[in-house]
Amino acid sequence: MARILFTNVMIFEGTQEKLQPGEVLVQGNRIAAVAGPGESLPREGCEVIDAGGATLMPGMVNTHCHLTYNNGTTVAELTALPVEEHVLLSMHNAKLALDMGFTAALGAASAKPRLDIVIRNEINKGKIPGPRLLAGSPELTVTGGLADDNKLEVKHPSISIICDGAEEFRKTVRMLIREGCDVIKFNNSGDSFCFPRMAAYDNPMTEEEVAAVCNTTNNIGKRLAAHAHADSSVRQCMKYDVEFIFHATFATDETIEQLEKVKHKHWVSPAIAARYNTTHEAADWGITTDVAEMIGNKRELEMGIQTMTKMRKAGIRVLPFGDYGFAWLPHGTEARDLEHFVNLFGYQPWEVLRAATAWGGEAWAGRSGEKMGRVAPGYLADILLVDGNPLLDLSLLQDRNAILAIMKDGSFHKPFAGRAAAMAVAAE
Amino acid sequence: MVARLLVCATCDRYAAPAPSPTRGEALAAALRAVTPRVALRVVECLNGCPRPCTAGLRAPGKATLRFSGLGPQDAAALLALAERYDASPDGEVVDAALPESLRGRLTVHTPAPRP
Repeated sequence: MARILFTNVMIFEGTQEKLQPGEVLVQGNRIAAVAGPGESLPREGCEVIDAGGATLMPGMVNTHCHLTYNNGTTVAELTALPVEEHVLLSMHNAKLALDMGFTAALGAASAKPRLDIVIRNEINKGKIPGPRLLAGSPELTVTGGLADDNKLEVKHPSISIICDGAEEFRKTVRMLIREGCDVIKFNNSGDSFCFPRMAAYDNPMTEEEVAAVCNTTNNIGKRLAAHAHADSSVRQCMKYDVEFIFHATFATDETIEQLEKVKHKHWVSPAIAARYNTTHEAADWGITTDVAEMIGNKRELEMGIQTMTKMRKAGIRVLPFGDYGFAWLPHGTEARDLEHFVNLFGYQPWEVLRAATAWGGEAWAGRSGEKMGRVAPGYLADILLVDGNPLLDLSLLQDRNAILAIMKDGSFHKPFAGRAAAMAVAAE
Repeated sequence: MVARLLVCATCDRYAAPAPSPTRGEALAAALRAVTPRVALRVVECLNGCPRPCTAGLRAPGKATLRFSGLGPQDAAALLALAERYDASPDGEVVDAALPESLRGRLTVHTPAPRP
């Protein structure tokens, strides 16, 4: 079994506020030992990597990942993509995710029913590079809901599966699980992206429909994620044990108080970049700030900031990343979310890095018992080496040149090639 | 913390065939050539694809600025701007204070979030 010893590293363990100097031994696909300040590990039989003082941290986990999105400007572009090209696109996005330090990802909705599934399978076989992937289903939505782009006279291909009534949802969930989905995603709120027919604070699903999706999924032991902007959406997520509450924008103080009591059962993923970038940085695609305000996106941004700030104070586990894959928030830029958490929600850098690693790993692993997201003995050897201290400069994680090495499952995706003095960028 | 000058590595995303190095990488190289230890981040995208190349300035508590339509000839001006941004408490740089070659090319200007 291969043994790799990282020495001369500053360790971000995943849950700690500060880096600690030390050493890390990887044996096979797991972290076998961690040495702290003043300690050293045996070197016999090891490949020794002197990292020159680089930060060693867990790989990042994207718990709201759309590998199948095409950096386009409209859903129509996405649905027009033939499946053959779409597979290749998704494969390239998987590699890019790993290139940018994401060693695991949870599929938050697949644009075609089996795309996430086949990409996950190919990654698991070691045939293509990519993060450990939990395959997401397409979005399950109601007629007229988010991602139903049909018109009365014109049927339009969709990235969603449209169901109406509990039985249709139940049958569809069973079919998707049969096909291999790990995560069932449903839309129990609207969004500014379905303006003007439905706002983000609207919930178009009935109690019976949500119960059918969730009970069927939970009975078979698969995972659940909900596009849940509305307050009633968040309440349904709590009632029906939906682990991953996406957005939660309009959760009231009372709902936040309820969520705090069951925070150990849920993860909240605001995907705030879809609101921030659309409001402030999408003018080149015709979405000025005025347009963003008209469709309700700016309101979602402002409410999302308020709500996540409250959730952080309540100790609710809020996770970064999410909804990247559009032209104005393309794949490869996900790590900018870390800055949003600091600048918009008041997180300390170590807190958001904890969310990106230790919490992300715990969320991904779920009830499996797998250990992911920390630099600790027994944990999967998903490791990054970073050229500087990300706790002082989170932007390091947006620059692939500053991500000096990427290890997934104990094997290098990007081997360490040293810290070139010319490339070292001051982070302190 | 010293402000970071961000440069988009994938500009020009729509060029076919894609040159190597990309135009964005060429801009980054020009910046490094002027000041090898510039606080530079070469990122995958700055969301300004229709008007390459792009560079931006971001720092906690400061305005976000992004410039478009740039080339290696703008390296010195960008670095001069980065110094002014660094010295500014809120990152707000009025148009008249911009280096002349950057005026009219500010495509994102987002004030710092209110605390």
